[in-house]
Amino acid sequence: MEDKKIKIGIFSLTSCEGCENVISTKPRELLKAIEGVELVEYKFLEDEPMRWEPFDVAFVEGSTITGKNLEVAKKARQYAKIFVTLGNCAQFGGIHKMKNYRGKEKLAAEIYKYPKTIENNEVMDMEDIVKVDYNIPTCPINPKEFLRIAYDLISGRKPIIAQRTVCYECQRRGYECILMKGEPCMGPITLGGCGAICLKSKMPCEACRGPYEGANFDSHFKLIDKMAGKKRREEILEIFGVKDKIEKIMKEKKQKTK
Amino acid sequence: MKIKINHIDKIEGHMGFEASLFNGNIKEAFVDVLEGARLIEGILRGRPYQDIPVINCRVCGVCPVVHNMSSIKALENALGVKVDKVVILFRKLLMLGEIIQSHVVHIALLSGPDFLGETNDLKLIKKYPKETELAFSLRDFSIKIMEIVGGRAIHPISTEVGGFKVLPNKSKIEEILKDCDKNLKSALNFYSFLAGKVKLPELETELRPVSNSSKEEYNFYGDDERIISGQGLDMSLEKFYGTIKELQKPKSVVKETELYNRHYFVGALARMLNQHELLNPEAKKLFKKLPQDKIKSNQFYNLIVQWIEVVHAIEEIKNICEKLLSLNIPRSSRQKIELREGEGIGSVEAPRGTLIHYYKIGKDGRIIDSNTITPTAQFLNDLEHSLKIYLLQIKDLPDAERALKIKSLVRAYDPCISCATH
Repeated sequence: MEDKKIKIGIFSLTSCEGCENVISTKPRELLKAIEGVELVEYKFLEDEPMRWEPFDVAFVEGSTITGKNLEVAKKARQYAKIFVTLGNCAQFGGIHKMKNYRGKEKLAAEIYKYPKTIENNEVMDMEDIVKVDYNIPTCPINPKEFLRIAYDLISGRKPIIAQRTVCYECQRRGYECILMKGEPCMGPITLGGCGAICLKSKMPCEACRGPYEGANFDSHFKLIDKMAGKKRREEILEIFGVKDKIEKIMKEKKQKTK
Repeated sequence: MKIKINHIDKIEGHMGFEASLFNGNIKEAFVDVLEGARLIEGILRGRPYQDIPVINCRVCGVCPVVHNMSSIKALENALGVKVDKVVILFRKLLMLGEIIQSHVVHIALLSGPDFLGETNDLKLIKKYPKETELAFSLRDFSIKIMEIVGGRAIHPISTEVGGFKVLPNKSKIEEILKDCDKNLKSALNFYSFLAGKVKLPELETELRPVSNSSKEEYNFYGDDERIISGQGLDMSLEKFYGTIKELQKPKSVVKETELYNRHYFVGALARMLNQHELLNPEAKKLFKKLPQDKIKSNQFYNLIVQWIEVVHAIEEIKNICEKLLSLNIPRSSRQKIELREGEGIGSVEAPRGTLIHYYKIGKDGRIIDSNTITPTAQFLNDLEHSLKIYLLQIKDLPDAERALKIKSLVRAYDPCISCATH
């Protein structure tokens, strides 16, 4: 008899593994979601080596810091029908991308006695390495959004992330605006879906969900630069590796208007 | 004879194991760290101090709170910032939530299954539905605490140098308090199951347990900034930091540590051996029933004493909530920080043991130098040592069975390779 079970793999590259841990914070819902699903890889729950055969959905967490990481990402792409990034590290390289900006060879030499013996690749956005079908953003992912998107994919539906900003979600919840109080908040240019969870705790948004493509970057950056300076603005956007992507979008927008 | 395990699953991060035996003796045995270099210590340099706890908690997604906390403590030491009693109580509450969260994952999903004869958790969950639900409900409790105090379960938001951006109100504390008795009962029931079902292998090694200590309480927060060991060592955190040596082998992204040129270990078992007299009543009762001679030399007991810490933590959460309800809780506890040049060390007990952060700050408030010494980096040396001894006992077993035994010892240590490589 032919096996019709949907096959899913959760792959872990270099990361803090927080996204995998987040998934396991809703264990009952997770178990329900994977009823009738075959888990081909999820090293948090099983200790069997991955056999590379075609499967349906790959969720990939972490960034491609080692050659082995790159190989796993490419193989997952090769064998999976649908490729999904799990969290900010997979989508934009995460906090690890800061080493690109600071000069990774210099940093390795500062930290290690034998820096040349250590793999120290450039950290890249996943979309620049393989074709990505969907992203589940945020550092770390939020469990509800993960389950919703996973359900959609398992049931053969196209998952959608509503196109609106963190700022919109913050205002709708009636949280105090800390941008107006002078803190450099990236809420107005960042893709929503997190429910403005950081703003609830009065932490300014640092854009970990990546840019909201329809945002007016120029005017927001003018405001931030006046408030905290261009250096600080760039520093904030480097934390979660989204600076490059924003620059790319701004460039594309400029070309379109020309 | 060569023994090689390419990848040990069900631990935080990626590692393998290699050993070679000659004429029945171990020639070498070492763990192979397969994690990429994230260079987080380097990333922090040049950044304003406020960014450090935010970035540093992302060293580990299983124990982010403790990285956040020990960074904050080190920065507060460097900047000469003092925090008040309410802030410390909330920090302890947050950390206890994480201790439960991490230990439950380790015991119920990662290491415990090795001693129940089924390493595939999905099968194990079907076999023990009642116990699974106990573990899940305890985890729910711990996550709720972290959400209430830290703003989110994984990667806290509300914490900062000087205090909290926002503090929960008393009704939230009452909510936590109300759940304590029920969860204590669940934890005790799970312990009976664990102690009855799990058969730990024999192992005899020489253990040097190192941990933070305090005269007042079984300590996770590192209130007194003193480090002790079972061998009578008792020194200030600063002196300990200056005494341990970080070693680095070529190709390795982990800097293992030594104390007076010898391996030592940190973690739940070390804390328990050093501080068991300060355990809360229910936890102490469980501890007293353990075979006292065995726990002093057998690392497999780390698994069991982690659960005793879960029991202790729930009792402690109840104490803290009661204390908080008797105090005045402000809505936020932010401080204006005066910038100054300085150096600071901060340490807390992570679920996996003593965690140390060091920073040097310039007068502009930016980081000049930073260092992180994680529990796993400290006990990796000890783990390799125990593996050598254990290998001699199991060398004649069939390959698959032996591999499982090796993995089970590695997992019992609860290594976090994500932390260790940072």
